[in-house]
Amino acid sequence: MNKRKVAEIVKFNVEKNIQNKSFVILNIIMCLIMVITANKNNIINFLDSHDLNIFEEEIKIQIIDEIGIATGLVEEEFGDNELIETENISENNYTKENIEDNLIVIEYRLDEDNNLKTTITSKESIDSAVYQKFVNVSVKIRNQIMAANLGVDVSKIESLSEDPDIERVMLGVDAENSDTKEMVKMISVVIVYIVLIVILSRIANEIATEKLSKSIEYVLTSVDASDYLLAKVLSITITIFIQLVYSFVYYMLGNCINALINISNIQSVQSSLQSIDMSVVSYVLVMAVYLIFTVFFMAMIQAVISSKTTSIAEAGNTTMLLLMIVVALYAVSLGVIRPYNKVSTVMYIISCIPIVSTFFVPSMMIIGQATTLQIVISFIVLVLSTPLLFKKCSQKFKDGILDYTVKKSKKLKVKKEKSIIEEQEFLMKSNGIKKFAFVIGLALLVWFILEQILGLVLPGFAKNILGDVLSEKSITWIYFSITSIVSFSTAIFVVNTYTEDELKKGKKVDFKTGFKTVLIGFGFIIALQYLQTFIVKKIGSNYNILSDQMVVLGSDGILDKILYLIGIAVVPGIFEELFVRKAILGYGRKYGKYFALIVSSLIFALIHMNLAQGIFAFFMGLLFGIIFLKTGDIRLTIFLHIINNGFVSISGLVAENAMVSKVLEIVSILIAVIGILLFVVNIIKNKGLKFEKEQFKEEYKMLFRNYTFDLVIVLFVILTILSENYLRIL
Amino acid sequence: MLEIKNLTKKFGENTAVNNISFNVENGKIYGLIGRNGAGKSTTFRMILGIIEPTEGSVLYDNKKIEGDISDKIGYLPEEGSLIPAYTVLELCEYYGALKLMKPEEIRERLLYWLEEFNVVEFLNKKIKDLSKGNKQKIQFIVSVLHDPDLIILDEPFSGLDPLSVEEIKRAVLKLREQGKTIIFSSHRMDHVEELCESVILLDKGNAILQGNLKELEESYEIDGQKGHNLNEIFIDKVGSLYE
Repeated sequence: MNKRKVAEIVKFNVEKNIQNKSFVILNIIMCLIMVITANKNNIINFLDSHDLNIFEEEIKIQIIDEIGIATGLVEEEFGDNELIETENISENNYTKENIEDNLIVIEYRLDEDNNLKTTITSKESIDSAVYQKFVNVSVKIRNQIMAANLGVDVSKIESLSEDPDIERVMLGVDAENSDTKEMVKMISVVIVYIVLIVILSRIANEIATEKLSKSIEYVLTSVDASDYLLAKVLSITITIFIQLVYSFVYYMLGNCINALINISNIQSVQSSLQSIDMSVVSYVLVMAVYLIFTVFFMAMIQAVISSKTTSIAEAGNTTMLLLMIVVALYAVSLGVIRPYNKVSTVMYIISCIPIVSTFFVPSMMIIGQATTLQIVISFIVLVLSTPLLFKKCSQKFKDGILDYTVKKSKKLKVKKEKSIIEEQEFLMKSNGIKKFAFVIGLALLVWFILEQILGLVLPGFAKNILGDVLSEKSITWIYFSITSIVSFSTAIFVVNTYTEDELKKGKKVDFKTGFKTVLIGFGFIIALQYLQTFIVKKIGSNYNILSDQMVVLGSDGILDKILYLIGIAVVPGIFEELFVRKAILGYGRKYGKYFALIVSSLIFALIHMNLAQGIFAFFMGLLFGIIFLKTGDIRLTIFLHIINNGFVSISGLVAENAMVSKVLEIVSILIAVIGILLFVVNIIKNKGLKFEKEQFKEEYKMLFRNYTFDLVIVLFVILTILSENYLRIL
Repeated sequence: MLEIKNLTKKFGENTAVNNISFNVENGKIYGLIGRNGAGKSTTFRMILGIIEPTEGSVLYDNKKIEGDISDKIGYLPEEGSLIPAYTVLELCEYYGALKLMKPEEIRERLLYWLEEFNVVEFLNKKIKDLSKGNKQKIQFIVSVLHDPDLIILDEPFSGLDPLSVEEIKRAVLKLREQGKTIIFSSHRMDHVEELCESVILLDKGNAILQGNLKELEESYEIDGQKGHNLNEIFIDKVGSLYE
């Protein structure tokens, strides 16, 4: 091994990496995020936050009030919420054994220095909205006490920004396993994922470029292939290491600013430094060490895989493959290693495997279930396997990087099959699809971001304006609808700016055809609905289409019901169809009908961001897509979509009345049978189903050659996997 | 002196290069000629140690080509080996660093060669913005940047306009004057005739003719007649193999 040369290459690459534009931009963003996160409380105080108040379950609050004013403030804070029951008690006698679910014991006491000390006792973690209210109460009481102590007006104290002294006691779970740690785990997982996306795509791109430009041949006259691989992987690892150091600096910077802002209260800064959780610190450190190793391993594997590819796009595809493996590992480590589950022996053994250990060991550490022996073993395995894997990889890398045979034979084949005109058409199509992929990716991203932002901002806003006039449920459905309308319209606008005018024009079918199509469509919808219910029951999942939304019951007001139907059936029906069918399918069909059909259905499935709903939505998407392609009339699919969503909602609304439900069921099945019969008659009339033959394998390859599209799809897949448990954090 | 003995390379069942031997004396220009796929590039790669020969050996000044020895060799690969996203300067900094050159030295020599080709303005241009001919010039500069003793040029004149060909030829001759050893491959006989002292003619991996160029031209017989140029010899020799 030529150490000097390896060092030279590493030096050159690292310098180039950290002077890279994207690295600089990423760091600026990161610095901003870190500083903002560290000063979150300051910012929230500055903006005077509002809070969303949807309680799902009844909560019993027991108050121990030594101050005398707390009970009143708590009741004031929760308003006249029916689900909250408050009660005064004198002593907290709850232990692990006798604490009930949904019971919160809150104690307001004064310590020796006449400072307020709040203790919140509950079985498990409590809703953040509820928690925030307790914080508010504590802040108010503390301010009043301080004002009295100092002899100043309360308004002067109110500008104090730091949190009051609140102790959380969770009796049901180990105190080590707080929500914060789950959050830390979640955040670090996301960061590692982003880091891996960046390095894998970069290394894949670099190696493929070097192979294709044959610069590798020149490089190999100077260094051995194994030295070169080592240098390449080391430079990316060192870059990540530098990034980690930078991140730490940003973190400290953020905290320093926080301390400076709160300089009036040096004590609280000191106490916050003392209260740093050592298990979180050790978690972060171990995560960092393991991350370095992961980067090394993944970069090496990526380098070997991309050395075998014959085009940059192909190398990009291999990155997606590796990322999928990482995502799967994440999902497993997030799902399997949870505070409330005991880690099994098998998991301990699995966690010692390199790469897997990177995700598993820190996760186990943070819930306090990793043993020292396990950490030592996994680390030794990690260190020992590195040279072994490296040896194997460097041989494969050398074989791959000098092997042009595939490319040559492929190129020859293409040349034989295609004339110049065909080749030009192929190129135009390829570029067109790449643009199509970019546009969809962009639109989806815009939709997602708007949906999230509006979902955060609108509720409080709507409540302020409409709070006195409408019920809470109505307000929920109003902002729900507005969010959908705005985010979908913007996404549609994004797609339409890139679409040619001729594609935007729709067709209109006559009434008879329309009616027939709707009948057939309805038949399939009902069939799919029943199939879905059947499958869900078989699987035994507690999936419910309305699970994460407020269910409007038959006993609610008429306005509630109307707004509910608008919010769940009409608005999504119109806008999802306009976006997925008219915009995406309409745009994509010039590259192939089946291709566009499957892509649009896939996106239709993804935007539901729910696994069970998504699978069902995919088939719905196919159905609606076929109808749109056959008729070209968007009104039909909008109508069917509204019926589909409304059917579920109405059956929910009338569920209490057995008679009406039964009638609805019978009528729907009747129409469905008619629809399907009509379909069968149509097939017989036309002598079988007519399928135009179409090749679309190439198109998919082209589609995934756009990184924006790839990244957005991966983002949605991750969110879908995580949505069941973690969507609320987002 | 570069000594090549019984060099053979097999890719699976295909024999790319079959048992070829030749010596190149220091300070001479040696030409490899042959049709596309004759085994020229494979021979070069084996000389450079990029690929391992199946059989045979390559010695430069009685040493195996590896480690420090390989830094004394300059190489111009056939299809170009420039990284499109880099500027000329960055690229030379990178390739120079691979040869353990110092940054000042790289800059100085790069500027010297850019002036030699009258393209100083390329210094901060990106490779992908250059035309094919200009890329080839940069390629040539890269291969001689670290002042190698042995220079291997694989098809240095392909895709160049006549003027650029002249420029590179001039540079090659200048290098020979400085005592460098040069091996190059071509399928254009006129270039070989003009520059080389000795040639080897490859076909399907076999050396079918080799020796001093002048002697070959004087002694080769076609239909009983002597005194042919290389082009005629090539067509006669290779053409007859395909009959």
